[in-house]
Amino acid sequence: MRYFDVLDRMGQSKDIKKFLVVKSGESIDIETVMQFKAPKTRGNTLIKAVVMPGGKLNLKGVIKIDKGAELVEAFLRQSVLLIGENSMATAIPELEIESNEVRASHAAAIGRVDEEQLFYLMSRGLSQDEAVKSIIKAFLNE
Amino acid sequence: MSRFAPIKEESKKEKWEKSPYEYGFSSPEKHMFKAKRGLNEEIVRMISTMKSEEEKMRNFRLESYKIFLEKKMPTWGADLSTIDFNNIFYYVKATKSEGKKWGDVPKEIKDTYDKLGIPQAEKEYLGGVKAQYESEVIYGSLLKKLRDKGIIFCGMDEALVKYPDLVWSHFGKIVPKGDNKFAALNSAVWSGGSFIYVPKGVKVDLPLQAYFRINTQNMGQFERTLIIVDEGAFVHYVEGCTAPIYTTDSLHSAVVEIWVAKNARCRYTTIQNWSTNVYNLVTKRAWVEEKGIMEWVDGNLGSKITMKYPSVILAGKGAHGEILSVAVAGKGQHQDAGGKCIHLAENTTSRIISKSISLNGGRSSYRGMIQMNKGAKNARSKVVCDALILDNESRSDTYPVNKIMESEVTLEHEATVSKIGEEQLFYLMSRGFEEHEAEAMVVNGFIEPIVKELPMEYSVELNRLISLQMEGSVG
Repeated sequence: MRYFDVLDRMGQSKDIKKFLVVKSGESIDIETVMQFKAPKTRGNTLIKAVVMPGGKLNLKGVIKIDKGAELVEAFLRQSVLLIGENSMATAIPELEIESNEVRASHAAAIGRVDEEQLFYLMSRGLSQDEAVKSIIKAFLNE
Repeated sequence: MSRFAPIKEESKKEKWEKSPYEYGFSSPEKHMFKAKRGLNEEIVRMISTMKSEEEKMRNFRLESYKIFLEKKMPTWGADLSTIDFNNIFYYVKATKSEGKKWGDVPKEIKDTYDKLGIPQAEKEYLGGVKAQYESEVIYGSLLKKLRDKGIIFCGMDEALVKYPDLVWSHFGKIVPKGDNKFAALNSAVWSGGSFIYVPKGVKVDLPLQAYFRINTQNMGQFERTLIIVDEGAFVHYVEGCTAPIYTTDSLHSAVVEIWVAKNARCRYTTIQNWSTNVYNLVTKRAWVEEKGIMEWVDGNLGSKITMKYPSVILAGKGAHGEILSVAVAGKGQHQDAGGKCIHLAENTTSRIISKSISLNGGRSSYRGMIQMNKGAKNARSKVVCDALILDNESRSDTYPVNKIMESEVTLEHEATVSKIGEEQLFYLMSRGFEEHEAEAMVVNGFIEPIVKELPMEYSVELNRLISLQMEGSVG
């Protein structure tokens, strides 16, 4: 899947949010490109993904700010939660900035189910499966 | 320079314009021997013969040369299409042999190093020094108390003769000859560089330093460094590099291999300040065993194009890798730098901090990789890249790859690109600083986390160089 957005009108603003679950045995590639061509544009991309055991996810995200695009604000966030054995993820967040009156940033995080959260939920009587499920739900709702 | 405030001291500015790079002087070219321009099998054989090498190294060189010819130029990074491999001198020998006292070093070369301040530094704070001029190490020293502890610090060529088994135990193993085109080139025509061995449990409290200087026009410098830090030992190695300004280009392509044994620690600091006609294409990699620590501190200020990604392979349980990188790209420069950490074992941790500054039309790119292989349970890594762009002509890029094949890990990556904060500037200017002074202060504060890791003299030098670079900039 490839998402390509161009912000070429002054003052334009764009928010992209994608939530997904990569099931066992699935392999998913997602690429998001946001190109800023006009001044005072603003863009925000958020990708949240849960990768189930045996699933594979490749994330690529590009922020491009062209020359002359001043006062731009751009942000990209990729969050991945890896579940169980054999789940794999690649995150490639890229920035290409040719203008100086900007603020552009990205963040990528790949992590697992937090042991402490799991322990807490299970101590409250949830089975491991239920606990993991509620952690996934919370992650996607964050 | 600032948009509003005029620089009061006009003389300062003039000085900058006249000599933007203070190490740009050159000495008259006097050689014992200079190979013909260009590269072919004959030149490779000739270098090997000049060094009276054994069959094994000669074959290593010839095989590497074949790989070099087969490999394609890398196209994923900086633009290297302007390198002309046939216009380069691959081997230049300036003196008969390595001097053990400054008195043994020929006068012109001694003058060069005096101007660079090396003998002074040696007296004051170094445990040992190597000076490489053109292709060969021309001077070397090591404090007696360090020699007595069994530390070896010598030129690579000397090490190959004196300690062949130790050298061959790791030579070409951490960075194989076929690793990339420039590693193959180095493996074929390498000359000079340092060899360091630190025995078990020995901690070297004073840094060891090497200083690399290119003097000849169109010179190619291909030093090869191997550092072996045995169990529980520690060493800090510092290298500096400069070259004269010529109108045509020179090439510097080094290979650095480091072996960090169990519980050992190695810190490798580079301040690269080549003149802006040097292509700097370097392969640096460390292999870290159980609970070992490898730290790369990498400063890239000079050169026309730099492509350098110090790497750490965390092979043993609990090993830690750290890469601190600062790059300044000015007019006509492209700094393509970064770092790589490969996690192979459980409980391994790594951290990359990269700071870059682009000004006067320069381009700086962070290119990095974090890989966590299956089985690297509980591995943790954090990457932070910050970039400042000081004007509209400049460019900044971030190209990180995070590849995770083990689910029980934590990885964080953050990058920010911005200009100097108006608020910070306003505050400093309200305190009476002129805008260009305030800008320099903000930039110095920006790179502070890395500068404070440098030996004192280098941090002062780095701050000074950056202020100097910025003085000529148009805001």
